[in-house]
Amino acid sequence: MSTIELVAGEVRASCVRAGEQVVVSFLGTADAQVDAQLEGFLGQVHAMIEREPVAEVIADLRHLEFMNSSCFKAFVTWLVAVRRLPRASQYRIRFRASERHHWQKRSLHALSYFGGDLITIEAG
Amino acid sequence: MGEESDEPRAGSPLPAAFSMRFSPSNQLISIVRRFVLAFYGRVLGDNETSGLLALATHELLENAVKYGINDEASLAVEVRGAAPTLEIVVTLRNQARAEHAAAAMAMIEALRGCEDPFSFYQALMIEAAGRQQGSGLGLARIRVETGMTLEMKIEGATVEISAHMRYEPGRSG
Repeated sequence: MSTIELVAGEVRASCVRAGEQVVVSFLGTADAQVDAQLEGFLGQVHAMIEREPVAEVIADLRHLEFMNSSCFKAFVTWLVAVRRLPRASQYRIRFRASERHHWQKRSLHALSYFGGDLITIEAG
Repeated sequence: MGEESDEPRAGSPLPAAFSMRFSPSNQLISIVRRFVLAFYGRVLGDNETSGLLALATHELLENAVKYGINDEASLAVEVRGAAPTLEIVVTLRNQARAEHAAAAMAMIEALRGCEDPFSFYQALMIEAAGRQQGSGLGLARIRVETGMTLEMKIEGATVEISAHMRYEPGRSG
């Protein structure tokens, strides 16, 4: 099992890989204080998957209270990086969202449209 | 008969306004966002709408922190009009450099002029992925993800950006 972690400002994130399963979990608030760190964290996640490919990554946002536009951009950058991989190396991202945090529905709709068939959203 | 009462009526969200003048910081922005979320969630009885107001508040305040030329900003959130259709306005006023004010004005005019804000937002997302600093998405995010329309006034170095929503109590979304 391998782990990548981010602790910055009001956000906590971790990426845990166990075999073929990769789960990236977020907690707290991702705002302007942490946008560069978040982008770096997602870059590390992407690099790890490039080295050891998987078909799907779970991005669990259920405990992410809020995300600002510059952190939203970090996810856009991640999606672009996945899109730039050769088709056979691209992996899907399954977002787990919370209906309690209403912003997630609209932000993930925009992200899913941007990412096309790479993106799946699980509302819960 | 016919005179409006200042007393809150059952089912009416009015009065429901506040304003604050403070030195915004990234730490304070989340506190204010949470207040807006909780206050309007309770007053309107509508957590989805209060979430939209909270998002607009957060993005406008972050603009003030990023582009303000001093440590002062004014925020106001106001529910206006009379049922069945109200208007909710989030207004941020601060002082900014002319080039940043002009960039914000250009974005707001582009958003007002485009036929399909969602497609415009998607195009901005592509641009954002190549940006080294900032996202350039904040104002478009307000327009597209909250459905609020944006207006802006510039008087000297003072910049006022307001986000407007038509609201019918009892009909969220």
